[in-house]
Amino acid sequence: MMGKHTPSDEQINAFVDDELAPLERAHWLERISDEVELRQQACELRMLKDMVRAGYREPPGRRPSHPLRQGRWGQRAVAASLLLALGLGLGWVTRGALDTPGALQFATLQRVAADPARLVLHVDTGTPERFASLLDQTQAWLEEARRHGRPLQVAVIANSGGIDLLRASTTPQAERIRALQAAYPNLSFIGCRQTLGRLKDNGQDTRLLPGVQLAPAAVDAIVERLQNGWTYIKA
Amino acid sequence: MSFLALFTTPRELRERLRQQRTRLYRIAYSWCHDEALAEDLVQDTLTRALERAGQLRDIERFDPWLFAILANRWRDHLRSLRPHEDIDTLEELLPDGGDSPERADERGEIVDQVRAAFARLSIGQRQVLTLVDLEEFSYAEVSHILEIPIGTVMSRLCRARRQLRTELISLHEPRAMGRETLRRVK
Repeated sequence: MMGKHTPSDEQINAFVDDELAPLERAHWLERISDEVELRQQACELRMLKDMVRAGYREPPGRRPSHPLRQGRWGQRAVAASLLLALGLGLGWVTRGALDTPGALQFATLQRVAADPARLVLHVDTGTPERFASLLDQTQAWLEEARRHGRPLQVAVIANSGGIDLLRASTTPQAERIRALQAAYPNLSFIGCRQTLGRLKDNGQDTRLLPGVQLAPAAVDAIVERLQNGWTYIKA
Repeated sequence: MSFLALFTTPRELRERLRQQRTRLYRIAYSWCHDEALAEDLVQDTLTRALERAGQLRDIERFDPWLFAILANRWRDHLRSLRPHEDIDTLEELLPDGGDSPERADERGEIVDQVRAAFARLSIGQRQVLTLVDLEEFSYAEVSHILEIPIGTVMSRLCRARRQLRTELISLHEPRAMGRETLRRVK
């Protein structure tokens, strides 16, 4: 079994790059949820990854593959990465909780009770099991809020590997999502146009489920909400 | 099934390759920080890919195969600059010219600061970092693309991020602590 030794840099990098086997990943998720220093290290590495992406998203000399919405995109992207890294820190407990159904309600309802208005749930990777957990969690929040007559708005924003949750050709949750959309008008699903553009370039089917909205870039959509007081949770 | 058989005509193969131009250019530029050289590397890579398309047997391996060609073209370029030196030694060097760190620092833009910090990484570190972070290749795929052991992939990645962390995270730490748009919910 894996003990409580101090992880090497290589191990933390491998965790952040999703290179670990499921059992080992679960072990480190638990450690990261519990240990502030480890969580900080993981957050910083995530932040660096986002910064590298921002630095080379639009290299000079070629027409951008996606039009700019505003001039100083780089500033905005790095601000987004900083916010996401902070949000990631806040989200780790929830992320661990999604893997542990028993801990689910307490960890998340605690957050909702304190800030009941608006939640942005960011999904950028996933397996069918994770997608199912994510929807279970979302429904639990919405049900809880409805039961207590509290206003609650939830936006599920998907990019990168998480977009598979919303693609008609890949999602195992089409019927569930349709039912949730019908039951909760305060729930929205938003896909990242950039991720879809890249998939399309690779010849993949990019059709989304009915009712799924599109954002030019997931990171922009998240930052906009954070700036308006939404709470970020990394799924 | 051969790779070519997956595309019914050469025109479709060309189209598939053409679609990768932006990705290839982004990686090539991040390695050399020179627009003209990056364009040349992409052109050369696409030409070689067309010539060697029959070598690829598994469509799932298309991306690593294509980026391995780019890495080889880049290695050939480095060799042409210093024909008498070992390529492993060259990959530990900093390239000349391009987007100089000093100039970028003066401009003060955050994207420039990221690129300036990148310019201070060795060529080998840049290659690993961009393939993992920009293209999201696995360590095993990067090992294949660059023809280096996985252990080397991991150690270069660690060193690169350690250096970037020192230069970039510390640079923005005061802003990172500003929580006006994020509230901790307890």
